[in-house]
Amino acid sequence: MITNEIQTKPVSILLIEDDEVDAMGVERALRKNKILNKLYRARDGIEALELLRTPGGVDHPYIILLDLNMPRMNGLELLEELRRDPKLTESVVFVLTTSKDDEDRTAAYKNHVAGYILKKNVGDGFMELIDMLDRYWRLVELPQ
Amino acid sequence: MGITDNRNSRSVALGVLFVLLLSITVLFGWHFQAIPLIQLHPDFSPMPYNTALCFLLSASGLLLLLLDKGKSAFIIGMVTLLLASATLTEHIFSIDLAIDQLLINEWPSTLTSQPNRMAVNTASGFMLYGLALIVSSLRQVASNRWCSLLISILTPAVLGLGLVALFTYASMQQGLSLAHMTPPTAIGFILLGAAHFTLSRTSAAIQEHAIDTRYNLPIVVVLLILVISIWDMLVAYETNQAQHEMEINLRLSRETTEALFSTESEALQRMAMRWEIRNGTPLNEWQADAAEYVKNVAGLNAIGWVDNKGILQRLSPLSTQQALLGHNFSQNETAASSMRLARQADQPYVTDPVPLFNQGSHILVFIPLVISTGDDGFIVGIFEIRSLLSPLYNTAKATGYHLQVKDQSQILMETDETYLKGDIQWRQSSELNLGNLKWTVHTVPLPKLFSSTHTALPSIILFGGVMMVFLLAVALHFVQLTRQKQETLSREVEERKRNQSALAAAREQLQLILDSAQEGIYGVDLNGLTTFANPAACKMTGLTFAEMQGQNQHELIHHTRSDGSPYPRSDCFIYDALTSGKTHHIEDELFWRKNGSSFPVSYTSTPIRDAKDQIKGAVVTFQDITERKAAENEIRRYTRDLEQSNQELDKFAYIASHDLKSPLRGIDQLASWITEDLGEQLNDETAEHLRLMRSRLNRMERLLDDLLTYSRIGRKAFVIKPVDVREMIEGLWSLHSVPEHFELKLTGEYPLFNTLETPLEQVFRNLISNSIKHFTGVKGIIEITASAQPSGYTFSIRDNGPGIEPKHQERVFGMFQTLRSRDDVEGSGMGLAIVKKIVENYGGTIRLESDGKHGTCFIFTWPDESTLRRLLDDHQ
Repeated sequence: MITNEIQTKPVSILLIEDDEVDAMGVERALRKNKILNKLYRARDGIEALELLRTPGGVDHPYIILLDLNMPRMNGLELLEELRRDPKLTESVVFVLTTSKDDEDRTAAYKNHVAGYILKKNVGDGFMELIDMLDRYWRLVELPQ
Repeated sequence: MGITDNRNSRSVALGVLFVLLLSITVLFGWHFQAIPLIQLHPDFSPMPYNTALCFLLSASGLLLLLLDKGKSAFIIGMVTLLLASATLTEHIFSIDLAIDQLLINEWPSTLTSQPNRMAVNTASGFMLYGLALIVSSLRQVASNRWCSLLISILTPAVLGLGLVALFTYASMQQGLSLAHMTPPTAIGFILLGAAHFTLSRTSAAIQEHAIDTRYNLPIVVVLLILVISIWDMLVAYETNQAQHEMEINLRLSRETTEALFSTESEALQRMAMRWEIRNGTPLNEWQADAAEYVKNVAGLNAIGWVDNKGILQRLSPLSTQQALLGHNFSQNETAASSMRLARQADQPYVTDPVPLFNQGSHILVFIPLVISTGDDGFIVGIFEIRSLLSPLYNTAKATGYHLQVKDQSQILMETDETYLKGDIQWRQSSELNLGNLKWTVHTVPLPKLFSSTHTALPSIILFGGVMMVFLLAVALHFVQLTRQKQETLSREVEERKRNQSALAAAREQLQLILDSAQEGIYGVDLNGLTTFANPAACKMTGLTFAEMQGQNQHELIHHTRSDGSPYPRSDCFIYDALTSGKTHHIEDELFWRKNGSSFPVSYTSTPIRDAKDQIKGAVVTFQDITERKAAENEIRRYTRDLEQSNQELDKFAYIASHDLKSPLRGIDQLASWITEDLGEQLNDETAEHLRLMRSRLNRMERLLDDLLTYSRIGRKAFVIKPVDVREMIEGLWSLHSVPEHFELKLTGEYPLFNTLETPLEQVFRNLISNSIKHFTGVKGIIEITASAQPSGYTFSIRDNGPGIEPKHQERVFGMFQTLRSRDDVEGSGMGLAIVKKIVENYGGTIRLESDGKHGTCFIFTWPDESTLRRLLDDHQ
């Protein structure tokens, strides 16, 4: 593993995904790439907000992998909530979705997501996604 | 008018031809000295040369008029007029202007007194006709009412002149002033007048409403001429009577005188015989005998005996002329020669007048005496001329004519009346034979002569006739006027009738339209009071027209708004039309029925304007829109339903694309992990099954993606922006990672225009990938052609692939249709269905051409910017 000298703290990942298989896929890919960063999991927007608002619920810095179609509170609703919340508005969010819909993509970018990623493009077993994230946090200064 | 014209022209031409023929015949006769040609009939007097010439001129003039050559006709008319008036001048002033021999030498000196001069009435006729020609030619230049009137007088006058001449000739009345015209001349005038009159009628521009003098004037003129000619005839008849009486009286008196004189002479001869038998009658016996003679015989002044030596020896009666005894007659030359002649012939001889006894002229009759001893002088009868001619004198005095008896040298006797030379109606001369003397008796009628024969009849007839003609003219005029008025009136009545029936028809039509209109229609006056309402309006409002008429329509049916509040008249749009003059169309208001219920209406209120653009009221048309509103509600509900189901469809598409896809992806994921985790432990068969499972999952995912795309066509709004089609296709080609053995050919004119890029690009992408996907050969060629059309562009994509058999060509545009197994060629079967839906969604068409062997050609059309914008506006 390449050590990141700039990064003082390891980046944790908040995966907001209702689909067990997709969640498993992400975990598998992390494991497969031997990435040991902390992984949090929420099954919908409400669960994620609870987790984020619980002090010490999620270690900073973190990046959020957000699915759009979820029960109770979907991804776009959560995004808007995050951007409204001064404490959470700095969150770095990648949308990870099956929706190719332009409207979804536009809505996501309007809420300043770091990337809009289609699940079908992430390669077999999310390997490319994890690869990208690994490079991303090594290069990008994240809010603390 | 045309047929009449032609017929008239033909008859005019016929008349002209006849007159021309007549004149040429006579002129020919004159030039070749053929009397039959000049006379035309032995009983007729010859036609003067100038008459024939004038006929030739007149007929030519009329012919020129017929041929519309006014100027030439004018000249000819002038020449005719000049010639005729010159001749007339000759007649009036009894002078010779030498125009009669202008063109032909005087020949032959036949029947008439002035053989080569045209008669007064002929000259007058030509004057009139010359004038007619001039006026007609002037009228051809400038039409004028007076010209027409003049022609209407002149031409019948010429015709009437001819008629009268012919009439009087036929009645064989000699000595008529109007009869000095040969029948051919008269016929010529009749023809000329009639022809010219016909022509003037043909060409006359008779104003429609002017008084029609077409027939009145000619009738009046002809009648007037007839009246004048009858008067003339009567006067001539009376004159004839007088002349006749005068002639008889004259003859009687003359014969009386002659008989008396011859009886006297015979008595003197008997005296001479007795003298001879007795060898000289004794004086006493002779004296008694002679005195008896003188006493008994008028005009015999005295009887004497002249001896051998010419000396008057005896005289009886002695008392009167005793101084004459012993007068030697041989010293008087007249007497001496008479005695000599009497002796030679042994006959009584009458001397020329000799003055005797200082008592005027006498004539002497010498009767030679022969006795046994030889010549014994003469018995001489002394006649005083005055008393001898007293029968003549007295008769002339009594009858009323001037009488003048002349011998060769002197006036012997004359009645004492004086007369003016101009009053002389005729002069007559006859001979008076007194033995060997021949005297001439000249007579001239005096007014007294006519007093016995002249009656008031001609004057009465003339006056009465003229009055009657005048009355007739007035009557005709009024009849004409009345007829014209009647015609005008009947025309007006007819027109009014027509108008009325047209009006009635129009009204009926209008009524029918109003009655059958399904819309309610009513009218209001300026005060808003109802003036009319059609049955539909009555039916809808439940009011009768009687209930509406004169009522305020607003208060009747428009008083309350739909929310129940009162609707003040000042707010009413219907009445606004009356004040503002604007037309209002109101879609949804309430009208109230008589029974208090209401119904929704749409109405239009339009101001009615008169010809001066003044508002006279308003007409309101309205419809009960209850049903329409219900229908609209229904439509609204349907629309809502439709929108809802569309949303549901959208949702379904979304679900299909996402919610159905997620589990698919999960399954795929799991399958891949199984493969991964089991690794080498998997046997080949299981590994193959897992692979197939994953490929089916992929296919299903693609199906769902395409389905989503298809369902979203036309529901998504794109922005119109400039698109370079050539560039777009080339970009597609390079981005599509096309296999090496494919070649792209672009032909035609590629537009650069504003359009929706995404759908157009999708069409090209699908068509190109379709061609590539199905290619089976070695070298693939895709040729794309573009061309501009009136309202868009046509693109064709031709490949050299396997083609599509005609029987499949319908199917390929259907959803989920593939011609080959999805295991051979991966595809959802949605590509062409998406293309078709996109093209048709933007108003285009797509078709394909293929024989099923040598490639396929897809041809589709795409709208230009303006068409596209109109289409998108319509969709909204």
